[in-house]
Amino acid sequence: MKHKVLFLFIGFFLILTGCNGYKDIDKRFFVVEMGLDHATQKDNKYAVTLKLAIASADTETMGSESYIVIKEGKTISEAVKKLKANVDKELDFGHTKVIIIGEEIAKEGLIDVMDWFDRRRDIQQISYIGIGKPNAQKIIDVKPKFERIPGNFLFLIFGNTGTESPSITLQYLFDLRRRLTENGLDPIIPVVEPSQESFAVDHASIFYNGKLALELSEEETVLYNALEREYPKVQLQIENEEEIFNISSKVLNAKYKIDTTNGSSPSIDFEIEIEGSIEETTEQIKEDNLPKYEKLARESVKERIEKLLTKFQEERVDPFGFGLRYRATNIGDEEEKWQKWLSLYPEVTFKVNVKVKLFGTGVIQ
Amino acid sequence: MIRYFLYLMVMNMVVNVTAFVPRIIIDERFEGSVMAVIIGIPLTVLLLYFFTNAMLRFPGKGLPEILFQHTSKWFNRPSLILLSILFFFSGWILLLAFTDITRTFINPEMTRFTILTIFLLVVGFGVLLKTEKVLYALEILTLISLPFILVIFFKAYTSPYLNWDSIRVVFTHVNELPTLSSLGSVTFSLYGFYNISIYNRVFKGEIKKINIWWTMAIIILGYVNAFTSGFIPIGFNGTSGVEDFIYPWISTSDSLRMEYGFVERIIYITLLLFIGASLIMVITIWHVGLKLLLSLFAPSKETRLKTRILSRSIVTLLIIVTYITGTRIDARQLLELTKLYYIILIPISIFFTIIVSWIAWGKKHET
Amino acid sequence: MLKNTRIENKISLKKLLKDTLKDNNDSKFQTLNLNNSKVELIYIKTLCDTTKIQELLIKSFFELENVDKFEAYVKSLEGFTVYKNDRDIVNKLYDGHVVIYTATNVLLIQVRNYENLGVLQATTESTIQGPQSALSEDLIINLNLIRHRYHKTSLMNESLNPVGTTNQIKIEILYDQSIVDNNLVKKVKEKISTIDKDVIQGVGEVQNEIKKGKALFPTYMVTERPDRIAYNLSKGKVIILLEGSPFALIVPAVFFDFMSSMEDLYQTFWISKFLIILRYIGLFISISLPALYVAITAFNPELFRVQLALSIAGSRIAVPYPAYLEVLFMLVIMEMLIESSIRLPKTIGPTATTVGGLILGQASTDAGLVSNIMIIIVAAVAISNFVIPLNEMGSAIRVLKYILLLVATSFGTIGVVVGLLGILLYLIHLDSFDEPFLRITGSEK
Repeated sequence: MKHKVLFLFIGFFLILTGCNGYKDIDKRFFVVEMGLDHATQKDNKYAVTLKLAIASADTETMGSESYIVIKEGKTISEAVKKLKANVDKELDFGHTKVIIIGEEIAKEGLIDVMDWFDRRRDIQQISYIGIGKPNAQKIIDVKPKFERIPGNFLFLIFGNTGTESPSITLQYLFDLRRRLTENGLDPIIPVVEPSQESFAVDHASIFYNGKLALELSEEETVLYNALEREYPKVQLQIENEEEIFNISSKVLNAKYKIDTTNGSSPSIDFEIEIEGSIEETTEQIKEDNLPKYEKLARESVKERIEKLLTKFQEERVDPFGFGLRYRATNIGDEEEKWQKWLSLYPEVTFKVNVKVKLFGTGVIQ
Repeated sequence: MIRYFLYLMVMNMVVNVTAFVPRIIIDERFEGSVMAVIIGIPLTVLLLYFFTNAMLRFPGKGLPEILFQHTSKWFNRPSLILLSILFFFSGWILLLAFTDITRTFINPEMTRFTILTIFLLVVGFGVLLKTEKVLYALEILTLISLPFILVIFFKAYTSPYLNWDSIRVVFTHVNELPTLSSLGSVTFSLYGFYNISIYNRVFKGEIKKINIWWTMAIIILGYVNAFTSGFIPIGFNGTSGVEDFIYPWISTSDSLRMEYGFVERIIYITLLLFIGASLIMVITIWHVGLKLLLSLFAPSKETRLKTRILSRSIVTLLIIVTYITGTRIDARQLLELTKLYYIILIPISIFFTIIVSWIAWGKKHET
Repeated sequence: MLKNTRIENKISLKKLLKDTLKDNNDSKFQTLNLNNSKVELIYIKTLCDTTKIQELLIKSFFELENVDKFEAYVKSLEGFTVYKNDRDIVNKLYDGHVVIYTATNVLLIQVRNYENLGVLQATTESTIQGPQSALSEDLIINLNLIRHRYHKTSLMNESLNPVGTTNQIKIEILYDQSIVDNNLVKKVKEKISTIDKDVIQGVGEVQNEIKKGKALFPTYMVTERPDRIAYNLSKGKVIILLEGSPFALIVPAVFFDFMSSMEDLYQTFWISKFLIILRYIGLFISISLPALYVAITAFNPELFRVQLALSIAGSRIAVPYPAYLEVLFMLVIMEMLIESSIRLPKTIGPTATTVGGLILGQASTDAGLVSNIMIIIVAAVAISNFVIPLNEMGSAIRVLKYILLLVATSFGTIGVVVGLLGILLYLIHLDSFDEPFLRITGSEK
């Protein structure tokens, strides 16, 4: 009796084990980067470029090889389905950490495109998004010589584990999705350009209504990142007629308040605290002169931030989330609040208040 | 022994973070779920205070013994059947939700039947354990999983991508009246204490009373938990982006990244931990249902063998029912059913709390 | 009248003994004659200490010159037992007793000679700083060792009916009367009395016989350390000692007992805590690492970092078999290595490990049979398995990992989680003499 039950159980077990998705790791192709462009053929819409990491048994060259495949289709999934037929192993999107979207597509709008990425369970929500300029395929094609693992260069740049540069804006997939759907918070995506067998990721673009609306300069990107992400190390170059000096600064605090008390002219009050030390000057700087430099820096930073904010306002983009803050601080129906804010935003005046504290001149005077 | 009581509370809260409670809170984020959280938790803790203290007046006795002793047959038998069905149902929901989660997030190529099979094998074995052993299992699982779960929560709270403005937007709708379903889901996350209907048999009077400090602590815990389950996903996915997710917390945990951890994607740690935690919770809940039902058949001392056969057949029946229903129902229907269940639970729980408190009050005044 | 029957008995007994022993080469019938008093000695040469017989019995018989005096003398000797019945005498004879026939009486005296008396070195549960001696194969010496570690008047020693219907091995239980639960003692005695097996040689057999079923996990602890025994006595446990076995059985035993080494008591607080944590990590690794490897590589490779995923994929390129076969192959080889190095003579042992570990490991990766990563995993599993301080638990874990591997191969990562939960529930379900096998004992408030 007992044996019968056991056999029954084993049989049952074997039936269940039939196909549960067992697939050995060496039978999978890991997609490390994915690019999305416009199709060149007429009746197709998207061109999907995938960078596949090739595993190799040799420890010296292990993983540095990669393989790039491109296919076009009416939808992303159609293109991916075609790609599957093109490779000998199962495509695994579990390690797709970098998604590059071609500039053209970005200009047309991201909302439709992102659906595929959000819906698939295997695409990480923490993969990085970048805008490929001139297109995504060019970016995927670049293969930096010193790259040990395909895509590692971009992983490290975005992942902030290697270099920490304030000009690199980080945009995770989930964050992009949030910014695309949320009223009053606009996406800002880094722009990736090929440069001498490598990449330059030094500025970002801001989206409005899901479409690329404003491309920032490098300096503006740094300023945005300094305010929004509170980077620990930001280089600020201050110039006036006589001298140029650099301060290595840390934004301690960047707060803003929306003041809508006097109805017709609302204002946004920025409070910024910067702390830093002088890194490079053209002139000799004495300790006791620091207040003077603090003042110079303060004025310069204030001017720049005001310029940046006004630019945002003119383009009607809102990467800081002023609109969201407005919605958060006012009571009422969401749609009404949102319409109200849309009419208020162009009227807003910015009041920027900067505090700079220099605490040293570096190692030398 | 008060620790077992806490495990029952905490695990029930934690498990419901990933199942349907946040889904319902988020669905009604502009229609009163904020208010539901604010008033729902103190009200539930009030129920907890009365029910638990009433039960603790009968050291070593479960709900069936109390009802059999103090109420008449026409009342206690139907109500025990009703209660055991409710307990089975709540475990059933949890089990099916996690079957769906497993299928969606871990292995889409596995059939629901297979997943249910391996879950039910373990759960079936666990339900048949002795009452105190279920608590031991719960304790070990709590001690293993809770630290990791707290780390995940901590990671979520300290993430720079948690946008408090989105949460504040939702909180501007605090003045909306709560709907029944949101109130039901908020209260349900605190219903762990109803499990002592059976586990009180093992407590044997080692806890005398849940005092006012414990009550306060549980209220705070409840608020933190409700906030974490309902509003953290809003902070990560935005006020409008959050509504598309079927299991908001699981998707939210994919927004967390452990730069220096062994596994970079926290979602997998979350999934595996919560599946373990939910299975043990299903065992705990079903065990209560099983014992409530058994009390009908064996009010006096029966032979042990007979009880064993009986409980095994009940569990088998339960497994078969879960199979049949579980492979047919989809996530949407399950969610609707859950909402309904949460709403039904509110009057029933109030009713039974009153009954038990009344019996306990009577006992106190007799002596 | 009484005397008559006794003499008749005596004669029939003598005949019985002669009949049973006549084919035995090492049985000895010795007749001592002095004047008109005659005494007969019957014993088994190989079980008795012949010099002691010479000293105690033969010499004194001739010195005393009187049977009555001699009888009184023998009765005063250590090891004297009273005649009960015939069967008992035969058994006693085989236990190193000398049967003495005087004209009127039958006397029994134990003059046992037991080779193999030395106190052994602790080898299976060795510690660095703790006591170094283990139990011996003799009951008396074992009792001596234990009593010297536990000076308490309440330490009780009870001798039970011999076990093994054929080989009649002596069995004794020890407990501290002031602490022990009397029901437990009663239950242990009851269980031992139900043992029904022809030959019993080791405490492991006793354990299996008491449990009466097919178990994987040990629920009674087998130990060779007198200090562990003394420690457990003080915890109110019952010790079962078996004649001829240098191991004792401790009941009841819970899971955490199997994960503790006596060393934990001898180290400083943090060191022992560190060691305990290490042991649990080892336990986890040796149970789940092969299963996790298969589950993650074949079902959810996105769990790894991309770098690790690529290097595993790379090292598996040349391997023709699926990951679970690879793991199984390597694990089986490893088990062979472990088993062979236990069974092999000490002089060949190291050669086997060298051949197996170094050459086989290196060659099989070169040949593309298994991947590099696999070798690391198998080695980690093997090493961490030895971290578990008690051999019987270690062996149970060794078996367990295959079950988990099977589940992982069939159901992936979710299978591992469910499998681990199942193992946990199974452990919780076990009982050791009504003591729950696995539970966290906090301060019971």
